Amino acid sequence: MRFAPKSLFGRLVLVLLAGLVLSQLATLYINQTERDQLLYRAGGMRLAQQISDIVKLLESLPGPERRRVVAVFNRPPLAVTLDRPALDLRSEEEDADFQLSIFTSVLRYALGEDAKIEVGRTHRPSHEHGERGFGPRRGRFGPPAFTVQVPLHDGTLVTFDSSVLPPVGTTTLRLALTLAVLLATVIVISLVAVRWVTGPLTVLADAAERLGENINRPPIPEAGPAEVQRAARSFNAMQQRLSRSIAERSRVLTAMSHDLKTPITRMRLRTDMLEDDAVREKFDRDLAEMEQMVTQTLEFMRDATDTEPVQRVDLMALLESLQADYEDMGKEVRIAGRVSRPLGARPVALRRCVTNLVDNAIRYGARATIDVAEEADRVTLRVLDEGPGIPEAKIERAFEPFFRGEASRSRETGGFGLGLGIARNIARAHGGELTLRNRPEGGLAAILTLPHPA
Amino acid sequence: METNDHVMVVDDDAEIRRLLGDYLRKNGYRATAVADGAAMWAALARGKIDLIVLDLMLPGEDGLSLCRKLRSESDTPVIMLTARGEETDRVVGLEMGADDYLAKPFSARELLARVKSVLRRYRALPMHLRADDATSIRFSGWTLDVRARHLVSADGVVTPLSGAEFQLLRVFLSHPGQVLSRDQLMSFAKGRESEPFERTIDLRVSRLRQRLGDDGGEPRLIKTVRGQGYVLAAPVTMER
Repeated sequence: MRFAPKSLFGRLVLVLLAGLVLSQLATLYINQTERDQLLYRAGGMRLAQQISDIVKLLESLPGPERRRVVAVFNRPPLAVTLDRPALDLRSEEEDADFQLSIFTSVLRYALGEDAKIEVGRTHRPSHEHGERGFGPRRGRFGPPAFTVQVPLHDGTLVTFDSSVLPPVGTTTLRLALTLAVLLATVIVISLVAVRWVTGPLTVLADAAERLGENINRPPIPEAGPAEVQRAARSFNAMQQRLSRSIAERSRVLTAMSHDLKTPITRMRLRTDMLEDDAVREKFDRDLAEMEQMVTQTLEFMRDATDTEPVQRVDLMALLESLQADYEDMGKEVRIAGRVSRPLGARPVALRRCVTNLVDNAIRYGARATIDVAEEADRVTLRVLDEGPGIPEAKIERAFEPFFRGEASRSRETGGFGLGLGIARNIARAHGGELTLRNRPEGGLAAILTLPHPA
Repeated sequence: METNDHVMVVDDDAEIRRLLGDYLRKNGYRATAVADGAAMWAALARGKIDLIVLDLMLPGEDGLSLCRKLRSESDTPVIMLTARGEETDRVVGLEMGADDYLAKPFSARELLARVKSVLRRYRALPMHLRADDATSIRFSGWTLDVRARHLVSADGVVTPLSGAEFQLLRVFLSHPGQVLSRDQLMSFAKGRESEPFERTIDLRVSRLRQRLGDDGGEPRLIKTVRGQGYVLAAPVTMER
């Protein structure tokens, strides 16, 4: 099956077409043979009529006249001769020869029941008579090839050799045309029909693909052929189980993170009472780290169930408001480039996504530059820092929860935590992507692309 | 450090109550710590309270409903403590009439800073940032989405705001047609203390005008009143 089409659609069309062509060919063959039989019968009748007419004419003529008349009638496809000896025309298979017996009875009917007719198959090739293409021919359903001998009442033996009937006209071209029209019709119909049948499968495949973007997407309609309905039902059930299991885990993790907040608060309050500044700072740092983990975990869990609607967002206002927030905290964020059209996005989620990227850039590189580029179908945001970057081998691992780039550094910086994971989830929920790249001039670039159709 | 302001802490966690009480006292406040709503009402009946630190999650009646009841009979400033730390909870707290919020886990120093700033603000502009349960506020073709903290233009484009812009706009929207002095506006702005106040507030107003497309030669939405401050010159509609 190396040349079989890949898609179910293609395969079904192929099967349908193959079946159709085969059945058409069989029909054609049957029609052809039927046609031959019909032609044969009609031809046989005409031949018998013709023979009886000639015999009746010859009966009424005197000897010399007969010769002249015979010369006139001796034309293909019927050879008429007067001076042939009596032939032994009866064969053993005569009774079995249905065609022959029909022809004989037709002939007898035309000449009168008492006529002494001898009818038989001619076994000799036609060129015996000296005329090309003129003579009896054997074939199962071929045109009648008989020799008939009829004695006139004065004893003269008239011999008729029937020969190939002239063809009724070639039908090959017309047949081919008919077949082509039929095929074209069936191709169109089967394309429509197969699309109708496989349509629900396409819906199913699309649904499976989009499940990655949103586990809580509405169930797919359980419609179409029975098999597809079953698959859709199983798919919906699977989605439900997945969604439930994720929700279950989320609840546990959320409850845990949430309950950690009270003990952390107590510890922070206690720490504030400490007199020794050095000790207090150490506690503060550890507590800040724990707090970050807890908050980020909660934020991460929240993403999974976020139902914020997509709105048109002024991206420049979003970036500038972020810039102002960082400025209020004494951090420097630069913005380069512009976007002219509003972007379709979830504003709160998108803001969190960019905030996480800028936070990382500032943590590792003191300040951040946001480079915006608007293209025909997307917007690219590049958040650049002046930090040390990430070793190439570890770059993809930075998206893992609580990944720490370099042990010694991240002790003080706290690592990426869940920030990048959250940012990537948000990017993907928007149908976009987030990647990291080390810049040739040094530092890390977080590249966020978002769809932005015109 | 010498204040004598009376702060009440309402939290069901005994340890947090004790620690906060100690810390506030150490910093010159009078402090009362209670465990639930009933004790809070009792303490309020006993004497003057200048500020209430109220935990959102309390056994029995929760912090939100306590805050709403409190608002209906007094204007004592409230700082809400929330463990969830999600924007919606924070804003719900504000809608219920809280003056500020603090997400757990917080440090005692953070709380102290909030207590100071809320009291200062309360005295500078004795009206609460209560938007009558509004989730969106309409003015001059714009809609402020209070939960998401962004503006939506007349044609549906979302314009995000920085934290300071949002705060400032809320102050204006709570006092439409009222001239607000730079000092009053400043009491709401949480920024770096080192900057000169006047300059900062002017910069912020000009940024806010820019967001609102009101930054021409003659601003119409947020007008400058020479020698006095700024005024929001637009009717405001609150919506639930």
